[in-house]
Amino acid sequence: MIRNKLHWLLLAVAGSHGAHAGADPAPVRVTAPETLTYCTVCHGVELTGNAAVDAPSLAGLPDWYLERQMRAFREGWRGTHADDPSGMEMRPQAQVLTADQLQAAIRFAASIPARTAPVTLTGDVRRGEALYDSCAACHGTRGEGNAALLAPPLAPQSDWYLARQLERFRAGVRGSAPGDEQGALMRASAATLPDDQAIRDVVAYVKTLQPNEGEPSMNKAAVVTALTLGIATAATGTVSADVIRHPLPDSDFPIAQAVEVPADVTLLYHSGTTPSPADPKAPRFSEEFWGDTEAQANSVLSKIEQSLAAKGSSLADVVKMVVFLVGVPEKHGAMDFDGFMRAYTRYFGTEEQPNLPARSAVQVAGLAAPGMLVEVEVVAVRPGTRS
Amino acid sequence: MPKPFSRRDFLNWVGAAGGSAAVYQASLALGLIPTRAEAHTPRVSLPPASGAGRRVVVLGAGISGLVCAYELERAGYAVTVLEAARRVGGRNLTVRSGDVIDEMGNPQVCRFDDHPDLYFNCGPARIPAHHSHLLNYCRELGVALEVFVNVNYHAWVHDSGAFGGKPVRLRQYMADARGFMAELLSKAVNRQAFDAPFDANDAERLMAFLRAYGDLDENNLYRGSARAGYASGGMVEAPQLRQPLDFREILRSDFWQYRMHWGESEDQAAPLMQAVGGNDRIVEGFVRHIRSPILIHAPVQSILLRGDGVEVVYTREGQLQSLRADYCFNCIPKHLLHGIRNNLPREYLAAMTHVQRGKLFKIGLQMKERFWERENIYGGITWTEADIGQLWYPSHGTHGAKGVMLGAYVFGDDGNDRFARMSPAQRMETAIRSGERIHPGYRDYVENGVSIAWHRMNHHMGCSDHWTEEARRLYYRTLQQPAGGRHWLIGDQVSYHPGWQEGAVSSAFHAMADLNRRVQSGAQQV
Repeated sequence: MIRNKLHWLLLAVAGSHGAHAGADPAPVRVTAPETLTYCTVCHGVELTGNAAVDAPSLAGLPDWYLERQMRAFREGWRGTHADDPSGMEMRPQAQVLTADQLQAAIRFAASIPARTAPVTLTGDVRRGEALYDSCAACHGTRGEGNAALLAPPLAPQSDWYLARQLERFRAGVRGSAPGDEQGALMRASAATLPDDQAIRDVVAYVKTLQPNEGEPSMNKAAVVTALTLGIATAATGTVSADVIRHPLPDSDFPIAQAVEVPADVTLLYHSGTTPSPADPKAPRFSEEFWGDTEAQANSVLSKIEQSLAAKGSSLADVVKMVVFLVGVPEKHGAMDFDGFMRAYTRYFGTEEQPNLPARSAVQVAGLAAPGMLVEVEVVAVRPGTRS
Repeated sequence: MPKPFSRRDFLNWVGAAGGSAAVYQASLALGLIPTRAEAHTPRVSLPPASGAGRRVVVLGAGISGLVCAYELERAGYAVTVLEAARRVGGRNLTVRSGDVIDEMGNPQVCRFDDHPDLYFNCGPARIPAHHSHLLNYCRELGVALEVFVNVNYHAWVHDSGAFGGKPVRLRQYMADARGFMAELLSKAVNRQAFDAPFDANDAERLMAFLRAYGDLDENNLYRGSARAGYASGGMVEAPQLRQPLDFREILRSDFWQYRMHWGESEDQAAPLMQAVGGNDRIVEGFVRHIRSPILIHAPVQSILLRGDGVEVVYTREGQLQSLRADYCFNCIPKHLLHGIRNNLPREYLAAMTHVQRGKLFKIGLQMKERFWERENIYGGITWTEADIGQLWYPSHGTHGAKGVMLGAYVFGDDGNDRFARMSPAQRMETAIRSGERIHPGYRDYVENGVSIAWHRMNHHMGCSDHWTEEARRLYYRTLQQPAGGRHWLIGDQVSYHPGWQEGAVSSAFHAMADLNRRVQSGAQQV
């Protein structure tokens, strides 16, 4: 939570500069497929949303959520209530897409990594944190969402949109249509917020959560499809072959002794990644909540895999890894190295993915949240970016 | 202490109430009015070759963008126009047989017959006589004009809450309303209510004025007027005056609130003009005369102010393209600019958020007969308090076989949202049902139609911005200023005339004059 608070400060500063304002000189990197420019006119060229036309950010939303909402609009359990004017605006647009266009739209949107949306609302963050406890069960302690529960990520979303949706759920404008079970659940949850101030408070707290910036919300297959659609700048070839991996002498332990990377290759320095809760409904920070070292390592490596995929890289392109493990009682306070390795060997040194990184693994006293046992950071090359 | 109602006050009041003609005549006699009217904004004057070696990118091929391209290339600037849509003209959109109406979620194809008179001006439809810059361009570009009938005294006033819901002729309503008002006032004058500031001569002249104004009889009573149209006769039989309307009914209807005075408002006073064959002839005129590249279907992805220029990234055929220019003139709707990556100054972006996008909905109907002509209606507007707001009868194609009329022109965000949410078929049905209350048999004349919700149109998502007084005071100047000394926001959105082409032209002139000043003074950076 301390880390979150720090992020909140940083976000508050960044947010005050407006969506794209300030000195950021990087030109746009996203290109919508030809038939999907309708999406970007309102939701923005990078799908980061536009309050001026009531269009929410779609960046960082997973494909399953996008698919579900598009279905909701098409089938009419969203966007038909008279008090949901923006939903009613979205509905005909969702309906007019062909099945292929719909899938392309979802793939395109899901390929856009999360971006920090600017802060436009003010609320009591401390009160919001207390209120958020009940939200975390489904949406995750970091607002990262939970596919199993069909709970979307909240952290990357614009605050004005979150507040408006909470108001609409609370008023029964959303979550009342037959067939919208998740909406009904959300409606019941929103009804527990006593007033508009509570909505602002909880949204203000959500905005302190760290969106997994740059983390993709789609599976790898979708990324590949997106790439072939020309959504991201297309890879022209892989440079992984130019990376020289020196094996460990006289050992089959699945790491490299050293990895050599040519000078003209683009490197991605990926932040430490921590696990998503294994069972968000379990008591917070309990063992069931996070899972054991193996489960956490699986979660972490899978998240890194997705994140790299969104950036045009992959686990096969990882050249360096640092693993931080927390000790566990079953090992009398030592790290569960074997548990970590069971997960690791599913991703590295397999027939499908034989490339091995140089790696260090260390035990640390603790990670950001109680019960977290695994954090992994990697450096990866990005194929096709030789200068 | 309130001042007494003096003769001068009264004459001012008469001038205001009776229109500006009397005041104009008096002022002319006093030599107060120049023989040639001054334009509201000077036409921009860019010295020849003043732009040589300088590159300009124009974002958006609406009227303001086209004006910039036309003027700047003549001054030697190297101009490129980028337009997101597959057509040029922005909101100057005329649809004809086979045209696509690119509304978000509701794409339509215009099914009008292929005939030169059968078109619908979805955007600007009339040009006031004092919109001199636009009219000058029409002259310069060879765009033929014809008179657009705006107010039509023979058209209908319809109000389901008055006159038993039966439409009455506009001339009858206005003649009777004025007659009753004049009669009431004459009674006040007779009781010498104004005796203090008026002498007997004044009072007599005032009575004469009222008789003329309201068409009162010699006893200063209103007993109906030929101005309302005869009930019968008038040619070979003796004319019979209409029975005046019940004055309480006149008061009960809402027509007097602003509609009755519509034709006296600044931009609605007769005569108005339209381009022969559709108002997009103006766009075609610009395109014919502009030599610079106008790239259509090239949506802008990012606008970045650099130290030495402006970098614009756009897509063409799915590929990102980059373009560098020294200056940028941008008429992209400001509510859509937030969705385009940019590094415009913070206060500039913040200012935009204080201006709300406008909403506007219109329907055009192809009628198999020009039934309105049989009702003595040639052009002009029928007013109704019903959801459709107005009916317009075409000013052109008189006595032709068919006609395209406007079946709805909706004022107010709520009404516009209501129509926008309907499917095109529902919109048509709603418009037909309301029209039926004014013109019995209306439904049977409708062959097909188009509906345009400007706040749902692709690349627009709005029109005619709503500026509050406060926004004008706090943010207007900010948005008029060039960001970084290089990026001008232009268009009717940065004018006091949102929704009018003259506002777009004037905004472009203002911005280009500013550029010229900077170029002439060599101050390219702010």
